Amino acid sequence: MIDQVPQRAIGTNIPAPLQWGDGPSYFFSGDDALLLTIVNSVAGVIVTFTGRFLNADDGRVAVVQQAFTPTSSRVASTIPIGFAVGWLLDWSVKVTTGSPTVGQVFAAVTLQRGMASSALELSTLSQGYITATQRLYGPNGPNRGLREGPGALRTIVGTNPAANTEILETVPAGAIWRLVSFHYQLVTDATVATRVSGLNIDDGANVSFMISAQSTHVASTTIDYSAFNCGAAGSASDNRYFVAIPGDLFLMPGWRIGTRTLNRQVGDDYAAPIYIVEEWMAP
Amino acid sequence: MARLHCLACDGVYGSVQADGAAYYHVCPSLSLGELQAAVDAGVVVLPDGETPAQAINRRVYVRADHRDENVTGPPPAPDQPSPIKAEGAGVEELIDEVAIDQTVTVDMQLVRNHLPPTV
Repeated sequence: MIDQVPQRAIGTNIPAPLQWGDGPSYFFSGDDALLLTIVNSVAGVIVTFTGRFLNADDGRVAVVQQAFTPTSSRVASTIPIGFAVGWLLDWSVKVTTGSPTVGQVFAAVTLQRGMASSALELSTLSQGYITATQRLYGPNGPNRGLREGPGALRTIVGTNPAANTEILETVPAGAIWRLVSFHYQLVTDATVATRVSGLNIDDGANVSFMISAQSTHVASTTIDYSAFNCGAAGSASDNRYFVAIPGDLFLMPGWRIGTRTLNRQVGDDYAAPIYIVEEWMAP
Repeated sequence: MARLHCLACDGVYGSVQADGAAYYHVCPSLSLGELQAAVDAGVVVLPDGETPAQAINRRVYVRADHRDENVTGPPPAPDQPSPIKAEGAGVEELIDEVAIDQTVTVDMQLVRNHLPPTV
């Protein structure tokens, strides 16, 4: 059972519209709290909540400020912020330490009954990605989902595999990628054989996509392979091979991008791949 | 940023990317060559008539001590790391390894006399 908002005596110097809670602000019963939820992928980020609170008991407007260091593992971090009886007039949340881009720090501000982690969530005030310059705010702040709008454009340097091992990169937990490009290099040993290098995409078990490069790869040769969405392959004479991938290649958490090499020899060695992804949070 | 060597797959990687986001290494599953070697050694037995090339498209062959650094939940305390899916054989830090995305500054004033003359 949910309690009704208690009727209390309030200060005489409170502006009339706010006495009845019908202004553009949020009434807090004394049992309510804000819950700030942050999903973050960048180390060293500090998020700060600030606002003005009109206390019903004395009619004074207090400044509220709460700094918060979320985990950087894309696991949701939460902090409840309690209030006395009164009105939260306005507020904002932004990154105050660190310089993440849009798509790397997602914030949600919700109203709940009580401070406990099991407290009943009452409403969502605002949610969306924040940076050092892009804020969440209220009243009437934005409400954007995790996948709305552009994600974070990231360059990732993957694992340099041991010789005689294929490249295999895994989408981390809590992230969704759109693969923009994937570059890798293969150095072949002196064993005479005609290798064919290409890319595989799988969901951790089932291969859903296989594509080979535009040309074959012989012994004692270093070739750079670049996979991206393009309508035509360039010349292969300069040892730069093209691998075609779809334009909107979305990859879910746990999905994998890897090489698959036909006729690979023991001394053949891949370098660390360098790839560009557009990333959204998926906690 | 630490350069790490995975003791399970011998892969080398940086723990943090240039944008400040962590890199979560996951050991690759066996390649076709490794699966062939495992079959030759009698460590893996395939169904009758199935070749390693067929098998590797039907199943995922994971090394026994594989590492998966993806986190499974929040850290137990603010100053501790988040738990990961599989520690595997562990990692060692490579002190002298130069990251391939590292920027190296060169004082060209000292190089000027070694450059070929311009036309």
